[in-house]
Amino acid sequence: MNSWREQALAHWEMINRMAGRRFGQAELAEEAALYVMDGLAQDDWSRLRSFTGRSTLATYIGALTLRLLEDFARARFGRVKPPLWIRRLGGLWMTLFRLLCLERYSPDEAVAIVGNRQPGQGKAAEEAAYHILGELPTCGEHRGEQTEFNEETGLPDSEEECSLQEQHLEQEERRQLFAILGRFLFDDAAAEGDPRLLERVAAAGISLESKERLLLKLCYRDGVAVAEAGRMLGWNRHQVHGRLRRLLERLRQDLANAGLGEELRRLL
Amino acid sequence: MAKITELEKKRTAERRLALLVLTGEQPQACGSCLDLEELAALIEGKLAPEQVEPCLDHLACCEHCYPLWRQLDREWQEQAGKSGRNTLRRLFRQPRFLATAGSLLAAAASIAVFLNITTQADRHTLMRLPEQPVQEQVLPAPAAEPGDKGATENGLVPPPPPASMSPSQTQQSKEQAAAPATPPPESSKKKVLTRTARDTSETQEAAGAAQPRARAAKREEKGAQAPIESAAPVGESTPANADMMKDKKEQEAISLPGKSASAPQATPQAALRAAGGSAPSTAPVAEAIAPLTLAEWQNRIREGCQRPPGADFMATISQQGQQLLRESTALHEHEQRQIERILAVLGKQQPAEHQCRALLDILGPVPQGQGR
Repeated sequence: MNSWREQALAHWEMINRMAGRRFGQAELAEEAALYVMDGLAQDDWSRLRSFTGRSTLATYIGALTLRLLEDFARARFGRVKPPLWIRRLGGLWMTLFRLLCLERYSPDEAVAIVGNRQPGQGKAAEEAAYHILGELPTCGEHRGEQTEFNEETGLPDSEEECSLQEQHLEQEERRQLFAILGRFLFDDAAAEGDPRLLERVAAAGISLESKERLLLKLCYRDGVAVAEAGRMLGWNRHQVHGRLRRLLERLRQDLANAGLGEELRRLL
Repeated sequence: MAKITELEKKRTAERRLALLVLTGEQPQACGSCLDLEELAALIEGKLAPEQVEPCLDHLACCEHCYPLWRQLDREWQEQAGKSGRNTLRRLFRQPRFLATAGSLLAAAASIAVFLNITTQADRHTLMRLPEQPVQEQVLPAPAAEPGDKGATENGLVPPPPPASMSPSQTQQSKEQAAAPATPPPESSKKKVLTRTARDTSETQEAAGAAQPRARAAKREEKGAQAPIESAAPVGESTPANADMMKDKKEQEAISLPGKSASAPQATPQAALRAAGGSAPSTAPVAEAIAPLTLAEWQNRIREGCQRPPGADFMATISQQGQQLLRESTALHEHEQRQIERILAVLGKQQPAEHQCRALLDILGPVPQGQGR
């Protein structure tokens, strides 16, 4: 028996579990898991053959599985470009958008799937799901019709996902973005606040380091515990708390320097 | 509650600030997505520090690799069992943690031992509690003696003394046995006098100090000992404490001669003791060994065994039994046999509670018409 095949079969349980987590429904998950196995076996296990040993094989197969599961979802449910504001919020919002609007899960199911994938995100996911449904009343209406997966369709070239086209924002879309974000961030207060606040913040040109941006995303967008976020970024719990505190201080200071101190005090 | 609300408000404000900045930031070019093996190595911490930075730079801006990174990290955490067991393992590898844990265990063990000793001491105390009220009752005895005599003469026979009296009586008789008929030497007389005089005052003083212990003991042996609260000087009752108190009193008697000379005058029995040596203390013993009927003797045994008996109680009972055997001629054969069996039980070396149980078995239930 092919040793790569043996290796893949040895990780079948993990693949199955990840598929179950990704799709929730047993039948779909099973189909997805089989799709992953097929994907691994393609070209005489070429994906596994490219393994060079920089990580453990199990983690590598896990990464391959996640990527192949997303490919399966795209092949099954199609692709749709999320609105700019959802792309801008990213992370949890993107995941929920796909689950709600593309895969047509009910809000509860979508929240459960997100919570299952990333424990501790339930509350944030629920809030985000209802915001998405509120802002996109047509979410899921004309999409989600199942399409037969065709082997010849081939896998999308995932390496090109991070294209630069997201940088070119249309002026109209940008206005919409700020309006929706304003509603989301400040609720009722937005009515009294400066409608151009977000534009002014964007114009302030605040720069963040990669780790700082990741820390803010993990802690405040995706609801990850600060210590856990620190672990992912290579800091211990004391370091990460200190860094986060100093970062927030600096951001307040930067915004105040940009002449937004008064608005911030009122809104935050 | 207000603090929680405050914290929540602070957290919301921080979240808004963070999202405001994140969404207000200009999108940046991310470059090509991460190689899956590179991502796996990043999660496992197998990348060199200089390789980690570019990976994190990419993850910070790429919304395709970022969720993959998070999910894979979770899978890896689960697989490696990092969440719970490894944390414990890591903790156990740290000498500081081991030192702390060791100290805590040692402290806990010390507390456990201390509590154990304290409760044991309290149990001893409780076993001897009945002695104290007896002392208090015995003290005024000489003054009441004539009246009592009169009462007996008038046919008003007092009920047999409660069983709780007997241990102290026997204790006193024991003391006498240790120092028989010969009067004690001058120095020991002084000690005795001082002790007697101070007994009453210390009894009252010790009552306050002993209360917490008595209360603790009461919790443990609730219901077993009725007169716990009235038995104030529990501190003196434990063997160790008794020795300590004795030494202390002796020291005090020696160091405070004035006090020891004046103190005995305070109570009449002390004066009697000073005059007549051990007269008051012999009275209860004489009473204990005084001729009894078989029924009275049996009643004494029953009553004495109602509560934890002292060793002296057994000695008294034994003496009385022997006396009954010797002096009573009107005893039936089965009565004599019963007394002999009781004496045989008393002669055995075993705990007083066990002896009591055996005695009660021999005596059987109280016959009708022979109430207490």
